[in-house]
Amino acid sequence: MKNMQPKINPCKPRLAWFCGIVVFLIGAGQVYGLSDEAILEAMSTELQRSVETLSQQEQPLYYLSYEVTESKVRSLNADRGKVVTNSENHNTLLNMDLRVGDPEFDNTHVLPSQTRIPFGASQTRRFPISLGHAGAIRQDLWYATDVEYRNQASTYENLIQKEKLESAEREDIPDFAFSSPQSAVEREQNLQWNEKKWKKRLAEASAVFKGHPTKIYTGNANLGATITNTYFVNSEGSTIKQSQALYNLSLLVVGQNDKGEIIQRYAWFAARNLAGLPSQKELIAHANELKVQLLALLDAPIADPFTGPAILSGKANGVFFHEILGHRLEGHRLRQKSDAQTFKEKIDQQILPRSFSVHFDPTIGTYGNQELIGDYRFDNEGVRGERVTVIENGILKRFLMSRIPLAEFPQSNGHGRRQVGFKAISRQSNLIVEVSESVPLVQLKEMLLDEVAKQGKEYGLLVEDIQGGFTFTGRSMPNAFNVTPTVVYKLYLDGTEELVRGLDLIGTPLDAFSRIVAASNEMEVFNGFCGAESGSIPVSAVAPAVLVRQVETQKKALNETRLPILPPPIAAKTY
Amino acid sequence: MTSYKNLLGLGAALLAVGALAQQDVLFQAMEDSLNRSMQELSDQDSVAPYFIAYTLHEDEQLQMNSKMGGVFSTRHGSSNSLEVSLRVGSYELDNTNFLASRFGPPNMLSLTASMAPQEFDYEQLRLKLWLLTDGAYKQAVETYGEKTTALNNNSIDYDVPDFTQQEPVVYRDDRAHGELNKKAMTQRLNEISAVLLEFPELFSTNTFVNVDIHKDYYMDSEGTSFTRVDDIAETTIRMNTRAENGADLVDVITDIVRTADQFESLDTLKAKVRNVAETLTAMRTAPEMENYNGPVLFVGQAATEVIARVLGSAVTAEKNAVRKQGSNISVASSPRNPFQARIGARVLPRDFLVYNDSTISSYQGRPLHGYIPIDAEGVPSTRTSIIERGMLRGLLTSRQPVKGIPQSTGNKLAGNGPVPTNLIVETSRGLSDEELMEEFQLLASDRGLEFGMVVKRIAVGTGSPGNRPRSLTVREAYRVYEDGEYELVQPSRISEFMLSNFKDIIAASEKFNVKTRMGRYSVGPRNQPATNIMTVVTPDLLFEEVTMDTNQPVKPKPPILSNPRAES
Repeated sequence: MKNMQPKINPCKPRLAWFCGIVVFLIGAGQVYGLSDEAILEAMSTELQRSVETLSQQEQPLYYLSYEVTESKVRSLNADRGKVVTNSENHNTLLNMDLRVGDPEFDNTHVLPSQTRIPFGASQTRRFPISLGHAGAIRQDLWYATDVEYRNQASTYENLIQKEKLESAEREDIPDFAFSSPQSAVEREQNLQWNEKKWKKRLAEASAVFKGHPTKIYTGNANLGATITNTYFVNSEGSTIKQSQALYNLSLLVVGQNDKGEIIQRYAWFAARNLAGLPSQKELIAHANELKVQLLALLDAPIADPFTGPAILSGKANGVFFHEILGHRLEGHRLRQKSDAQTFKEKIDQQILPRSFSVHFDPTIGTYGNQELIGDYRFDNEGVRGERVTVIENGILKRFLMSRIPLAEFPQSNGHGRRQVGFKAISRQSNLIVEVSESVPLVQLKEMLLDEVAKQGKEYGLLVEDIQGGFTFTGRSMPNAFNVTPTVVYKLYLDGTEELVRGLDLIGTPLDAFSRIVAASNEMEVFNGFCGAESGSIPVSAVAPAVLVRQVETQKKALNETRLPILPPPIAAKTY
Repeated sequence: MTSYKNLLGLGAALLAVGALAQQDVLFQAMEDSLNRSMQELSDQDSVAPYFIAYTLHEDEQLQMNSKMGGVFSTRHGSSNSLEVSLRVGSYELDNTNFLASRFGPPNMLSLTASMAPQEFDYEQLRLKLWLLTDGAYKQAVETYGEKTTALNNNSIDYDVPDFTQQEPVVYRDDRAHGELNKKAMTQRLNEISAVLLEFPELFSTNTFVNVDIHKDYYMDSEGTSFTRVDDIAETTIRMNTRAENGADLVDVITDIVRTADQFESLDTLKAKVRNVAETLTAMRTAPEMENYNGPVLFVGQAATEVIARVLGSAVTAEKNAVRKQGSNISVASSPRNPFQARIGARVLPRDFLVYNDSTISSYQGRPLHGYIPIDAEGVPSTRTSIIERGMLRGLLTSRQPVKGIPQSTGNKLAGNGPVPTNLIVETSRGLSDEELMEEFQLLASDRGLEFGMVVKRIAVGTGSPGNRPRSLTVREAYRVYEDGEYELVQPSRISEFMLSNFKDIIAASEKFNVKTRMGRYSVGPRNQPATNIMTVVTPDLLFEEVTMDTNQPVKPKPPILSNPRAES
């Protein structure tokens, strides 16, 4: 066989020498483990290069931003006294906002005949990128920008053609809001992690759930720790590096009652540093409380559908406001024709009792001594997060705004948020419900009983804890909410309390708010992740307990399954 | 120093004793659960279980990606999972091999697999196994009821048993796990990926490493129990660029072994990366592949991939499942793999021998990585003759028998069906490189062709049984002219490659190629992916007539901006 070499031009000796020098120079000039400034500089350089060329194309680019998110995640999980999983993940992904056309009409424009804005994850917006080398950063950005530009230029061109067929006039609202350039470089947060210590702590906490083999099938304790570093540059000149830590500790206990119904209790604690999480003593106390509650819930009667007065605890009320009010104040929805736009025309109108004011404040990390997780300095669109008073003395004043403007609110107020891989839209941050007139909780309970008597009811409801909820804001379905309480008591006229299970709170927003009677003077915090069109993001809700003149409940969907055929192999015992 | 060494030795011995004690706890929990379940579930009113198997999968995995000298993603974690396999009825007729549409998500009491504690705790394991067995039993009884009803009310030829009987085996795999050294892996990965800094014409690159430390602990109600170390270590380097005419050019190098210390040396792998990167760069200005029909010589990786994808997917036998969709009951009239109906027929030239041998870990001094001591059903590994003197003699099976093959060949590893492990193709008439090239060029000139095609690299893909045409993506191929000159062409596609093509192999080399790849076969009645490790041994193969054409008739335009690295 003859020499099997590819037919290529051999590298001539002089050329090879030259290649070698270039490689050496690049290698010498670029250090692995780049500084934040070097990363931002590489990103800015490539962004500038892209803008210069792509803004001269037939479909011109007029705005470009790169956001690189580096996530370092560690987690541990234990089940009834033993560690089950431990994991460590690290990834770096690029998000890009590339706009073609001009702010009045760009590639994101929604034509009058389109029913909804096409938000959601996109492959081209989720691009793995290496931060170890300036050349690598620039090459990844270049390649991703080329792919994204082609996609968005085609979209823009199609929109121009389609608009010619529209019968309705274009609304006089731009597609994009410019903002002022921002600059900041935050010091990277250190991941606080002591695996040995936490394995022991989680094993100990989850061991609380042992000893009930006929009733408790799973009893988990989990710890998660995340450091998120974001590098943002845009064509307005912003260069921002932010670093945030988030630690969460959770307990989950799942059981089955003798009817086969599966019931669970869940508790989630989050903080920006480990010290903000419950101590071991508190964690075990929480685990014991969950266990006692679960065992009681397994035997509790199922509540019948009910209308009548109720107290929502501070946590429950926080979720209530987040679902029912918060999502309807997200500005981008008010541009969607498919959205019910509940509050669009209600600026300067009263929508809550006069004693109520509601703010969204991403600038604070605590409320009193309680940790919040909906805080950030700059949103995912490079806009500084602002405290936004949406309701003042019961009057609706503003909406939460991203860079998608509204006619009355042309600027972002720093609430453009997203999970990595999604497109940013207006989302909630730290929701704070404040009341100027409040009463102690004891008095609120007395007021509840008065209301029960006044309405001729047998009992009122006390919603102590809540798992979460959902709401429909569109027009094609009833504009209703469903909030899922986990711990509910019937409060009888004689003052006795009875634990019940299996109910959901349902209703419609305007009606629900019109029935709030009074609030307590104790604020509670609910931390959690909120999922919507732009993915899952951390949020908090701070609210007092409220008395509502009338709530409506329905039976919760059954989660029944057959009981095990054989009894457990291990006898129940007390540990 | 000696005493220090002794201390180290003592420490290691104590660890080993600890591991053994842990293993004993696990097997005790499995045994007690098996005994109780077999006895007490048999006392129920429903049909009794006749076979139960428990497997605990112990796993630690590290995955990292690097580009141009920097790691940008890492996943590292450890977990154990428990799995239950339960059969009711009898070996002749049980709840398996029946597919019915089911709706709704499973709940926690209908699962047949779940996470298990990392530290083997008797009570925890018993509780987990109790609920998993309960879920598996209820599912099995339901399925068995539906299946027997379907068989009773329809005329279905169902004369092959559902499961084979097996002599009990007790086996403990005492091989040590490979090392999982994150720091060393990071350094190696970054060094490999940094090589690509030398090639500014590449648009994007990715270097990936996966080190999986895995052990299975198995026990069944027939008395078989085993442990099996099943480590995998993989390095994959992917690079892509675009030709001047817009064609996307991609190539991937893999190094798949059992443990990280078996990886190719850093220098060897770096040299391979450079070689492929140079070829890819050269391909940017290479001519486009035009329609071609004529002789093709598959050499090196391309020969192993043709064997793995096309022949490899036809060397296993599976029984056709009874399917129920609504009220319709059906069974395919012919086997999924056409070879199942051709035992005794000639499928390769007479000088060819094909066999699968799970018992060996080297072949003429070259390492094979498909070695397994025992399969996932507790069947000891075997050598299985598949093709002798070109005639089909046997196929690989699991404990689910098929017509004509009543016993397992010990080839069930992952998923629901059997898979090849070390698949070896030999010829008794191997030619030297010169002779093979002469034969190749003769074929081309007989066809009146200006050149013939030599294919060196083919994209790794998923194989599935059947004699339908396969489409193979050719990464690296050359026109070879009469004067022996090689000309690189852009990527192409072989679109009509059939199992029957193997019958007409014209010649093969005396030298052989060895390549380990992930199995990637669709197996079982639901076509589930099975990703086991397998090694292919084959000579270079010369086919008389193969059709090739461009794999990208529509090409994207070149990037608007130039690559910033090439620019600098």
